[in-house]
Amino acid sequence: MKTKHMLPKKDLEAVHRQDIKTLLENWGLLGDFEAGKIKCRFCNDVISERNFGAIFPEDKQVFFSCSKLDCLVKLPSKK
Amino acid sequence: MTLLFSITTFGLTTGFFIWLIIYLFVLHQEKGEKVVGWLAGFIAWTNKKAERTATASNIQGKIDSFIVSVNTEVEGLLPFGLKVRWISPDLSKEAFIENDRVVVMLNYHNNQDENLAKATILYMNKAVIPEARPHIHQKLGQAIDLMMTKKALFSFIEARSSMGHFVNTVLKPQTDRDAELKETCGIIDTINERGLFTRVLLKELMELGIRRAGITETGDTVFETNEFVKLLKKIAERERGVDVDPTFIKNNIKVALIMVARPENVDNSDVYLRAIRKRMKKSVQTFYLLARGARNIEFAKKVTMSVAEELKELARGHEEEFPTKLQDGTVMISYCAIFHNRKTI
Repeated sequence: MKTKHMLPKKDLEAVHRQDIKTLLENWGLLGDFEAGKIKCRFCNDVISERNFGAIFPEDKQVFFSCSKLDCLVKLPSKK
Repeated sequence: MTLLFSITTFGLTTGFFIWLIIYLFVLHQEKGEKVVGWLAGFIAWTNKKAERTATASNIQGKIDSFIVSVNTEVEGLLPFGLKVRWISPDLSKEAFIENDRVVVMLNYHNNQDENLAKATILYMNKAVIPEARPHIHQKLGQAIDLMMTKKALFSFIEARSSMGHFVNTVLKPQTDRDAELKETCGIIDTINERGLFTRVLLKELMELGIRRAGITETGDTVFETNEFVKLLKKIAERERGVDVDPTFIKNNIKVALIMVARPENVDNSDVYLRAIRKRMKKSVQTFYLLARGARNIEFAKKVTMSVAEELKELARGHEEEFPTKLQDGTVMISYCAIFHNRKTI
């Protein structure tokens, strides 16, 4: 039985800051990341560990968003 | 059942600990989340799992508490909670693309301001009136997200600095470069201070979204919702003794906000019953009976009883007392009772 205390939950998928470099290394993107070649999909700012916001796939590619919240709200809604 | 009551009932026995587990992890999960986050925070430096648990629980517990509080004002306004699901750093790029999911980066648990602001705005953007979004102006949608995020962060008393972070890094920069957004946020702020933001505006938009589900928007409803916001602004800014027609009857939103005030030495509900009957004939769907101040509230409760007894076509809904802030900054207790017309078209 569901009570008012037991709302369904939606996932916020997240990667911890401590795992970012490992993840990018596994994807072969760490070199580009450290060379400042990865940019925000929305505002074109260079992404660093300090302003890393999110990653998302689009057209079979990986894109990045910086941590500015007005960029984050433009992230596509996924299933 | 309070903590003190359970200790006096069970003592510090097995029964107490069973009660505590049920209380924290079944009845009030938001409190359980906070306890887990707090405990994990102590040992976060020891391993990655504890750090992640502390980060996730700090966010989930606070957002879930806000959801519980808002849903006591409007049932179902925030229809789901939030669960942080960590992806493994070993996830392959192909699997990530295949899964087609957005993944946000969360910082160490002691960077609470940034994490909370980020998670809260992403949550609001998805959870607040999703069905109504095609039927409201984009600026109104943005302003609702921003002001709900501000309201939530303000409610995180133990992490109030997260609101300062949000105001400085998002709200102020966005509204400084967008005059229309600034004006809309200002209007919502005023409506919120009078207690009408969630209870009336978001409730009506939520119901409109459900009614209009699957219907292609032509722009008429967007215009209508903007007009409704203007009426709420007028009501919120109304000076004492100044009349504003509190009825809004358009294609989709049909409401009347009846301001109940007890005239000197008169204690008769008839004038309000007549006003409601007149508007029922015009097919008003929802009546909000509003009052401010102890004397008026006492009278408004009598009017509510009379309406419930005499107007059987109306279904009695939510009823609540809450604090509001007046234009001069005075805080005053207010009251709202909602009735739904069963016979509307």
